[in-house]
Amino acid sequence: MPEDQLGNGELSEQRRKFLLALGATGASAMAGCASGGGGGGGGGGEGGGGETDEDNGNGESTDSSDTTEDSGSSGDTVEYMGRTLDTSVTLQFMQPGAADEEWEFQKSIMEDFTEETGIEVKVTRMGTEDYKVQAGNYLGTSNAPDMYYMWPGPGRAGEFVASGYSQEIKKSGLLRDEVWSRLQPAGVGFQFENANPLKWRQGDQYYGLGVSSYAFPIWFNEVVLEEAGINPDDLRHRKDVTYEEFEGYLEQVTTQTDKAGIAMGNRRGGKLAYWGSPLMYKSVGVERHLETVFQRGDSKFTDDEYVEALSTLKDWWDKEYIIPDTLALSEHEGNGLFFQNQAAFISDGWWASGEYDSYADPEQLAGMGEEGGWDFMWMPYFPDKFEEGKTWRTGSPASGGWMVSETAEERGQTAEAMALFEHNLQDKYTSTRVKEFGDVPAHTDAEKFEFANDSTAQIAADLGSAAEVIPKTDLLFLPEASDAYYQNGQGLFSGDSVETVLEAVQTATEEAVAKYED
Amino acid sequence: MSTRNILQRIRERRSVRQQGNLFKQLRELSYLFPLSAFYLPFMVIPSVGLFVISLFSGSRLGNLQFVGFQNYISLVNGEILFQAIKHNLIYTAGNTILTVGGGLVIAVGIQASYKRLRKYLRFVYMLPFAMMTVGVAFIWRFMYHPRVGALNILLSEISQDFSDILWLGNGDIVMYSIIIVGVWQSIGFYTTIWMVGLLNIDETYYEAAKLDGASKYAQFRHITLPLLKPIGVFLLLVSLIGSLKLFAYVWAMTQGGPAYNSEVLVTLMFKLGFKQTNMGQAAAVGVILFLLILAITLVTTRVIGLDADYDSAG
Repeated sequence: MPEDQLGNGELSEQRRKFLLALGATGASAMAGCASGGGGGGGGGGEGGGGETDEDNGNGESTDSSDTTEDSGSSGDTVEYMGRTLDTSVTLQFMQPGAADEEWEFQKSIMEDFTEETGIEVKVTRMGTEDYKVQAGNYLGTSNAPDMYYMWPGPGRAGEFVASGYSQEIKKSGLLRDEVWSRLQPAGVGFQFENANPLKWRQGDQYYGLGVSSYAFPIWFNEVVLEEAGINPDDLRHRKDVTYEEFEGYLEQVTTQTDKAGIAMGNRRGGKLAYWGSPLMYKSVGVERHLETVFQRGDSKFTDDEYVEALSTLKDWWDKEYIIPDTLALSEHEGNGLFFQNQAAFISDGWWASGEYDSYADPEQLAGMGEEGGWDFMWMPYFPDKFEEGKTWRTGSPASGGWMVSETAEERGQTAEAMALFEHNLQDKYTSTRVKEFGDVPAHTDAEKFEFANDSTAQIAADLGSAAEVIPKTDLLFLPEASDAYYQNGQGLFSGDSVETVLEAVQTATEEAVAKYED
Repeated sequence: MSTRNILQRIRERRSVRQQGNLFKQLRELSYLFPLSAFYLPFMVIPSVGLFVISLFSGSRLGNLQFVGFQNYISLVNGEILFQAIKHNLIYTAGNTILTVGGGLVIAVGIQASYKRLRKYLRFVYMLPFAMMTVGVAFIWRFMYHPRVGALNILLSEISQDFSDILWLGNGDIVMYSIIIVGVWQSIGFYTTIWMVGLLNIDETYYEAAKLDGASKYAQFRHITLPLLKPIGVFLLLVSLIGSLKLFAYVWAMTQGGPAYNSEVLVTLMFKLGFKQTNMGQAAAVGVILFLLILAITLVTTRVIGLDADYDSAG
C-alpha cells in the first residue's frame, strides 16, 4: 500500500479501520436513539402519555404549570391557619389531571390562598397515568413540590412514605387537631407506623389527609335490566345481594337480551381490581386478607379459598357474562358500552357520572339516580362464608389526599405548606366538591353537605355505616403485587389458570414484603 | 566518528521522530474530540452508571443498598425476562425482514417505475416516517379497535369471521399486530436509503452486464446486491438496534399486555424502574439489553462485514 500523508500506509489503514469501527458504533448508537428510524425503538419518554385517568374523573394528558398572582413583599409575614407565614416564599403544588371544571375549581382554591396570604403557589398538573409514574421522579429532585396529591393505601401513598417523600403530620403536631378531627376517617388511608407500608392502619403516624372517600359499587343500567325482565328496584342501593343471586341476574341478562352482563375494559387489567378485590376479601375475611397482603401470617394467595374466590371471575368469563373483548378495551371504553346500553353492570367510582357525560345519549339513558337511568348496588357477598360480608364495602375512607414533602422542610417552608394544606381542606371547598362534582366526603359530619344526587348521598351514608371499607388491589396491594395481579390477571381471559395468576401474585407479594421489612 | 557518537545521534533522531509521532497521534486523537464530547457524558458514563446501579437495590439514589448480582439472579429466576427477550426477538426478526427486505423491494420497484411517479411514491412511503411514533401508535390502536376499528370493519366486508379479531387483545397475535405498526411507519426510511444506494451504483456495470447477456435477475444478484452491501449492513444494524429498543408502540397500545404477551425489555425496565421503583432490577434489565444489542451487532458485523463485496460483483 503506498505511503500517505500520515506516514506508514499500513498504520494508516489500521487507524482508518479503527476510526471506521468507532464511528460506526457511535452512529449506530445515535441511530438507535432516533425514534422511528430503527423500527420504532423510541425512547422512554415517548410513551409516557397514557389514557385519561381511571380513578379521578376525566383527566387529561396535559402538563402545564400555572402560576397564580404574585403578592406580598420580601420580609413580610402574615397570620393564617394558626401560623405565621413568610409571604416571600413560593410554594409548589402538584396534582394529577381532573375535568376542566374541577381543575378550574382547584386553581381557584390556590388563588384564594394567594389572596389571603400573599404567598405565590406554582401549580403543576399532569395526566393521571403520567402522574402515577412521574410523581416519584419529581419528588426525588430539587424541583419537588412542597405539597402534592397522592392516592391512599400501601400501594400508592405507602411507597412514597417509605421513600421518605412526605412528612408525618399528626404525631408531629404539624396538622392542627381541629382540622384532623373534622376529617375522619380520611386519615386511615395515610396511616403507616414508622413510615412502613407493611404497617398500614397501625401506629399513630399519619402522612396525609384528604376530603373525599372512595366507593366502588356496582352500577346497573336500568334500560338493559328492564329489557332482561329485571326490576331495577330489586337491586337499588342494596347491600345484601349474594353472589349466587348476582350470577342469576347475569344469566338472565345474557340469555334474555343480546347485551353483555358485565362491561369491563381490561386492556391494562384495571377492572380486575374492582371485581377481584371483593371476591377475595369477602371469601377469606378482611382480617385474613390483610394478613395475606402483608404476609403477616401463614395465609397465602395460593390457598384454596383465594383460588375458589378468583375462580368465580373466570367462571363468569367462561359463561360469557363478561364482554368478549375485555382485553382489547380500556376501562373507559368498557364503561362506554354500559352508558350506550350495551351492558348491564360496571363497577367504578362515583366519578362515573363524568363518563356518562362522554358516552351516553341522555335520550337513550337518563342520568344517575333513582329518577334516572342508572343506579348502584353494593358488591355481593358470600353468606355461607362471612354473613357480615354484606357490611363490608369496597372503597377507601380517603379517596386520595394531599401530602407535604420533605423538600418543604429542606426549604424551610413547612409552615407555609401546612397552611396551604389546611386551606385546601376547608369545608367550604368540600361543599362545592360534593354538590358540584359529586364527591363523597370524608367527614365526621358528612350529612351536613348537600349532595349532587340521592345516589351519592346514599353512598356516603352507606360508607359511614360500613363495618369495614377495604381498598381495591391497586391501592391495597404493594406495587409489585398489584402489577403482578393486573398483568397476570389478564391471563384469566386468555386461558391461564387461576392458580397461575395467584402464584405470580404470591411471589410478587413476598418479594415486595421483603423489600419493606425492617 | 566513534560508535558512541553514532549511537547517540541515532538515539537523538529516534527521540525527535518519536516526539513527532506522538504529536501526530495526539493531533489525530483530537479529531475524535467532538464525538467524545457527546459520547463520554451521554453514552459511556451512563452505561457504566447503569451497570453500577444494577448491583444495588432501592427505590431512589438516596437509599440504594449493595446486593451484588442479586438483581440479575432474581430476573433470571423469573419468567418475565425471558418472555420479554422472546418478544423482542420476534419483533426484531419480523420488523427487520420486512423493513430491510421490503424496503429494498419497494426501492427497486420505485426505480423501475415511471420517472414522474417516482417522486410521488418516494413521498408517500416517507410520510409515515415523518409522523410521531406515539401518534402512530394511537392511530393504530384505534384502527385495531375490535368494535369500531377500521381493520375489523373492512375485514367484516370479506367475512363475518374476521369482524371480531382482537388484534391487541389476543396474546397469540398481539406481537404481530405491533410488527405491522412498526413496519408501516419505518419502511419508508429504509426504502429511501436503499434508493440512495441504488442511485450510486455506476451504470457502466449494468451496461457491461447487458452486453454480456446477463438477465435482470443476474444483474440484480451479481451487481446490485454486492454493491449495496455496505448500505444493507448499515440498515440491518439500524433496524436490529432500533427493534431491540422497542418501547413506544408497546406502551401506547398494550403496555406489555395482555398477560405479558407483548412485554419487551424496555417496557419491563420502565415498569420496574418507575412503577415499582425497583431501580436496581430496572438497571439490570438495561444492562442485559445493552449486552444483547452489543452481541447482535458484533455478530452481524463479523459475519456479514462492512465492505462492499466487489469479488461477488460482476
